[in-house]
Amino acid sequence: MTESTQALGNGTILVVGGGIGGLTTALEAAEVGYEVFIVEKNPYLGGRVAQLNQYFPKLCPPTCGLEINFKRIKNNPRIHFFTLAEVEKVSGSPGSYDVTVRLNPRYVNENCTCCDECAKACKMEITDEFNLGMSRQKGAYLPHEMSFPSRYVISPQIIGTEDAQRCKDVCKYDAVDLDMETKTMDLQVGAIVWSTGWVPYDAGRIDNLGFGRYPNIITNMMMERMAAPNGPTEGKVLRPSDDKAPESVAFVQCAGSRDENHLPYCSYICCMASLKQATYVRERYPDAKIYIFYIDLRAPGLKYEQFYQKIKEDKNVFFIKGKVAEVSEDPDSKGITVTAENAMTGEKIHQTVDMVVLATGMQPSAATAKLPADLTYNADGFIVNDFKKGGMFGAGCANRPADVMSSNQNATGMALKAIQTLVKR
Amino acid sequence: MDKKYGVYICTGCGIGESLDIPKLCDVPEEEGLTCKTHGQFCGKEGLEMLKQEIDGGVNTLMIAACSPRVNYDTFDFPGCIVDRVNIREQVVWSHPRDKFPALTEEEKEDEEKFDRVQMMAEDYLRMSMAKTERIILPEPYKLEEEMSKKILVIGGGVTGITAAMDAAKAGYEVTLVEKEEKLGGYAAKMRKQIPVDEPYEKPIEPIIGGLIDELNGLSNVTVKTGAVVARLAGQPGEFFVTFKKPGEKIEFDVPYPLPEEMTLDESGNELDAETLHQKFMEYNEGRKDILTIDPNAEKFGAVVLAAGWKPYKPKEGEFAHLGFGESPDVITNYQFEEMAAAGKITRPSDGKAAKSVVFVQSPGKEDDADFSYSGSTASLVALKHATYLREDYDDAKAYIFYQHMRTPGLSENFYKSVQQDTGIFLSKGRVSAVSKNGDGLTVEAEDTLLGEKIGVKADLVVLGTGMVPATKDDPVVNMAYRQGPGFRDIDLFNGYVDSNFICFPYETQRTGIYAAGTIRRNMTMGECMEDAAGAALKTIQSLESVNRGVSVHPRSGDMTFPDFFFQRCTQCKRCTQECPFGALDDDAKGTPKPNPTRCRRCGTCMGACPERIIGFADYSIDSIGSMVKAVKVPSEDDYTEPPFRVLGIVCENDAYPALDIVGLNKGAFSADVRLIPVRCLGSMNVIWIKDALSQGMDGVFLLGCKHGDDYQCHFVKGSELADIRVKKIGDALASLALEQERVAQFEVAIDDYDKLPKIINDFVESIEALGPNPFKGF
Amino acid sequence: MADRYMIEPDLNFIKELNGMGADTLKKCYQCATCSVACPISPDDRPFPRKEMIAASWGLKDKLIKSGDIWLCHNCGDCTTMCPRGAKPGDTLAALRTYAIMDYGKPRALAEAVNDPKKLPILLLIPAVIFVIVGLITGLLDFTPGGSEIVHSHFFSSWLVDLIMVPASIWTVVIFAIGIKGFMKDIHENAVAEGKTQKEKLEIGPFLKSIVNVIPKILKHSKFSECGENEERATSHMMVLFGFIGLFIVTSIFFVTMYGFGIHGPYSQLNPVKWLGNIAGVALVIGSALMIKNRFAKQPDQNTTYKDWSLIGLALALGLTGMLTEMSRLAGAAGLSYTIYFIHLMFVFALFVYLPYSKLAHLVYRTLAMAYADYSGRKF
Repeated sequence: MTESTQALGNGTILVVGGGIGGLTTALEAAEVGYEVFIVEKNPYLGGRVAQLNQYFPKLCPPTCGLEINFKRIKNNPRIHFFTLAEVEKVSGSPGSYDVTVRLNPRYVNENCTCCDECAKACKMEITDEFNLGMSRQKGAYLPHEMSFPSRYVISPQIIGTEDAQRCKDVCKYDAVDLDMETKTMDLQVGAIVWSTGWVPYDAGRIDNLGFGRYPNIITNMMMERMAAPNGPTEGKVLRPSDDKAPESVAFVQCAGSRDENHLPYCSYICCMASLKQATYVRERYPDAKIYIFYIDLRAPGLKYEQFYQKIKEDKNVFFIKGKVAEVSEDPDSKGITVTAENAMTGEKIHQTVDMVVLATGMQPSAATAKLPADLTYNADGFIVNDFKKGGMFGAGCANRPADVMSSNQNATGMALKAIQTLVKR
Repeated sequence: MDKKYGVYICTGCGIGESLDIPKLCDVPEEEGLTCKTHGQFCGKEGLEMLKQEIDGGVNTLMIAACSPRVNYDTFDFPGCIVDRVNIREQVVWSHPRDKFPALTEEEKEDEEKFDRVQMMAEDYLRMSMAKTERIILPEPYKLEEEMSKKILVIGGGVTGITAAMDAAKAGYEVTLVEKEEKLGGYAAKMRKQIPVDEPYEKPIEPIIGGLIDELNGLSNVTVKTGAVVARLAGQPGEFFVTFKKPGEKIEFDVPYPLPEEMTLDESGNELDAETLHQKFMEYNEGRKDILTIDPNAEKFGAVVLAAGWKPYKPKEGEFAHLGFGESPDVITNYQFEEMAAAGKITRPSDGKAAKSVVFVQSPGKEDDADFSYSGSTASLVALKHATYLREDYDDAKAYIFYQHMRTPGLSENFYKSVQQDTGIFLSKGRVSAVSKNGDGLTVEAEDTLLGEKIGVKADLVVLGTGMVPATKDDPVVNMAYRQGPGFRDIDLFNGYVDSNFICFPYETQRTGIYAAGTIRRNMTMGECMEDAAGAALKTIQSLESVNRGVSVHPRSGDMTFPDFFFQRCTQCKRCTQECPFGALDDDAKGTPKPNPTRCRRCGTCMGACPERIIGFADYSIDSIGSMVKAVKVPSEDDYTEPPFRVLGIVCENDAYPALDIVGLNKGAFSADVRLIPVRCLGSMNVIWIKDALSQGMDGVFLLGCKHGDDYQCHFVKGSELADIRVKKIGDALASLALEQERVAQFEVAIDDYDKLPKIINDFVESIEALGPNPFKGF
Repeated sequence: MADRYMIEPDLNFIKELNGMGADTLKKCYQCATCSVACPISPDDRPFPRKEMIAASWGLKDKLIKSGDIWLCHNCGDCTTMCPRGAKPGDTLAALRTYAIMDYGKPRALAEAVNDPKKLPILLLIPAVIFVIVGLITGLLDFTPGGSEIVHSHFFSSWLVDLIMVPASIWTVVIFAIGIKGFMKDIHENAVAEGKTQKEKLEIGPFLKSIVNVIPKILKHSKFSECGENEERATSHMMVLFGFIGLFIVTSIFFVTMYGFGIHGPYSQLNPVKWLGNIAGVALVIGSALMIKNRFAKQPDQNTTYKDWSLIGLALALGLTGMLTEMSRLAGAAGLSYTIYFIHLMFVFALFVYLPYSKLAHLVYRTLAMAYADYSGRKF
């Protein structure tokens, strides 16, 4: 525990979004000596990376990085975080902002011991958003094993039902509080860092790639959940239509990215993600064949380039330069045939595989729902920072498409920008 | 402080149902300690009870309940030693009664019967009692002298200048040192640069000039040009820096460690400390030892290293097939930039206008890799260079042969806008040969998108070579550290200054020194400026941590620091050599000199020390050793068939949380193991293993993280060092007539909780197969 | 080095294409979506991806001499799906225009036909010819007598044919020259790019291929494979059959007049008349639909002068033809004669300018499709 000593400037920093970027900004600022608030809309911290199975190129679990950050939070009295919370209104100017935060009810208080009795008692099942709807869960649930805070949630969907009452009755620790209501809270802060992250681009909007039409076409985020030990299939990679082990998998790069009909920019992570996911399949199925259809393989940086070279040594992984523009399903086998022109040979390829993974890109959360503050966005919804003005900053993937490493890098810098705003005054 | 102990056993979360609580209370009570129980200590009542206890004078609490990973704030009592005994996740939840049945009433009467889970809980209580006896509340470490909050920035390029400004704007004194006479680095030597912000479309006029002006306008920044760091001695908060002119030889130039071979005598044995030091001084003729502080040195608190990059220098004949070195008209992208900055694009051979230029992005031998160290900037640079040519001549033709056009993220906009120029021609392709053709060149390319083998007539060929980090073959910082003046193990990162890829940006293996810009990885100027801000933040953070007397990341806020009992030191230097952060220097006699603010509190030194003279306030050989000894090892005297005892030493960062999850998922593992968390396996001292075995435990296993090139250890080498130590004790065991197999180390990641029970159970079975430890009962 | 294709980009060629409606071709980044999006592109050496890079590299010869640019029916599926907004459809259309001008000799006339500024002169030429020849031969009677309106009294059939027959011969000759070069080029190109195994181009089998593709063309089977705008097939079919119908009617008229001395106008009950009327109506409606579609497709598809002028001409021909007849039936002599005069001007334009206008695709696409069939290309 650090005992608080006076910081250089006075004032508090608000970080909106408790994903890896937001956590980084918050911790880096707090460890300098500033008071920091984190506002996270999910019932847990960790955001997008909490859903990932492994990081590229080290193939290590993101929960490892999250655990150490959570430990830093536990050891740092200057960090205050709110889950199930959303910023409603921001007024004021650099150095002094008034922020209204809405706190949605969790219906479970700090008495919760994660004993799981409420989940056992609850009969109703709801879709598991953490698993991108690939599985169902009880109306009273722990988002995932490593959830922080490790506290159950009761879904608003069961409030008012007998299930809710059952949960309350079964709890030995008086942790279920069905009378919780939405509250609003006002914060006075000197600087705000918007770390609102990204959402996977809606693959359903890419008509020619068949997502939603054919069960064996999934997205790269779904693949992450499948491969994760705490995912819907406990880490088994299976094709959705019949839970069969895939003998061949095709990865479709730039599914929506670098495409003016969808996302004109490059989403930065998809190439490396597909290379990584190729290893998920290969380590589970020694004979499985992988086909990666790309326009350009973007391995920016030596470590990434080396990772790509390593994958290429695998004789079962095939790379085809050509974008998949057509898919079809064999109604009997449920296999998928993808069509692309191999631009190197000038031949159209019709490759039939058991399963297709669409390397969908990232869209800034702000693109779909503008943030309640006076911010500048580019055409695609990324926050454009104005360092002259200061006060509010977009960080991580709210600012531009990025991998975890560069998000952390960016998030650390934004912590300083926020501090500068406080010091100026 | 004199400790007043209190033991508190929570009966909630199934603990009460699973364990015989009164019997559990006997353990402390036999030792004369008060033991209280409650159905929910984390609840209002329970907490109230604990508060009363503290008011009643208890200052050392052992709370046997849930894992310390939960309710961390609930059980935080300032001024008290609080030891969380994890009997929920790691005893009760991970040993459900359906798999580990409790004793029936009549079984309880039977002397021969025992309850494994109960035994486990009791042992954990004993271990906690032994431990709390031997730990004290840490006090923050304060430097003897007034610390310096001044920041030194090494490198006056775009990154260094931005870092200096960012630190200054946060209110800190900054000195920027640049080896050249002028500021700006390569950023000042370009015609145009890649855009740094929206809309990322066209090359822009260099921004460096504006940055320099802004820097000069800041009162709290001092700029030293034409100077380099001769040596940097001391530690964060009090770095003593000697500056010099480049190339100058001075007595405070940093000395280099002896090469391996010089440290041994004829028979290949390590020389003794004095001789070594003597040889070292001879080897560094005319240079002062690292411990001699330069009286004229300038004092700094922390350092931003922004030494930047050097253009890649192709080796003799390396790219002969591309005509490099054969024809003067084949140049690198850096040479092209120099030419463009100086004037129009011409042919070096005859100075004629170069109107047909081929840009080659990949060496084009067997694979599709770009030139090394080119990252994604080489693609952007080639696009930029193509626009130079087009602005010089209306009828110019620029060809770019790439394997993969790497313009990630928003820089795709740059690609999109540049490719639309009528005179710029792009294709994927492998350039196989460049040959003379009259006064020009012919470039041959295969596997292009044009369908056939093609040839292009060129006046000039430009190779998209990379940006090599300045630190690759030059220590730059010249640290007066016993481990040497440079960064250790950066060859793992191809010469980039890094210490834990992905998760710990900016951190180097040297505390208080943070890397920024192109010495970290290949970056554009926009990325560099952003990176500079981050590095400046980390630097400030380390200053404030020193100021508070606490550790920096990853043990942020830890107030403990290694304490040495020098009387028993044998000058074996292991601590100095093994410290991943070079925190220890040793003097002429080889006695270690701790530099507490360099330390990251991993305890590797403690694990390395054969004399066991290193420890922390709340973490020492003794505190852990006593826990080992506190484990009851039943023998034939107790039962005809005594249960086995296996010790597990687990890394608290990954393995320990994973074990908690095993409990949460009600997964089960052998109840005969006793687990002890350690800060890092690097802090594991083999004496614990020996103690365990000599007191009759049947086996010992270590759970640590993945090591090797992609190591996941937060302290660089912990699990690797432990692995080496474990291998070494093999013979020691043999001498005790014990099988080597009784000790093993396993690599586990934090998400291996589904595999852990099997790993543990398999090991226990293998021990059972070996039979009980013959030392039992002695 | 022998087997190597030496690249010689032609910057002006790229600029010219830009001017012909392919203003976005440089945006292409070779993802090859277009080749898959195209419903009629073959699996082996599909188009238009390779044409797109050749175009952005300014490789004129590769493109103008390629038969593939003619296989494209410009249905626009590629343009719709192109992730970069490069509009491959427009690029191929521009390439065809360029090729037509390239094969249409003399070049000067070809350029005039594709230059809006030259339109008035081009339309004036026939008028002048008619008047002069008419006056010289005295076959032009400005005071046609008789109770009923008979156009041949005003414009003697002799006069018309005196001009129209040489005009058609001219057209045939110009095409003959063009086709000679065209066939040689597309074959060489196909061999060079490995699109065919056939070493030589044998006339016999090739003519058989022409016979094979004609029904395909009439059925518009390729057209109807287009995903983007099937309705184009209908309008195109109406215009095509309109022309064919009128061609037949004209021929019959010609034969009966010189063979049996039967002069028009025919009675409305005459089946030949029916055919003429139906064909005329088809022509008018078809071209009107085309105009509507063109407007609907903007801005996704570029419509340039070459398109407007052709559709315009078709519409003009149809309208003036119909109006001539109607005004005749309505007994408005002066009006009818005037319109007939204008009609004749357009007919002349159609014949003489055909080899240089977009309508030349009638010949080149047919040959290209036949060649594809001949060279065994799965198309």
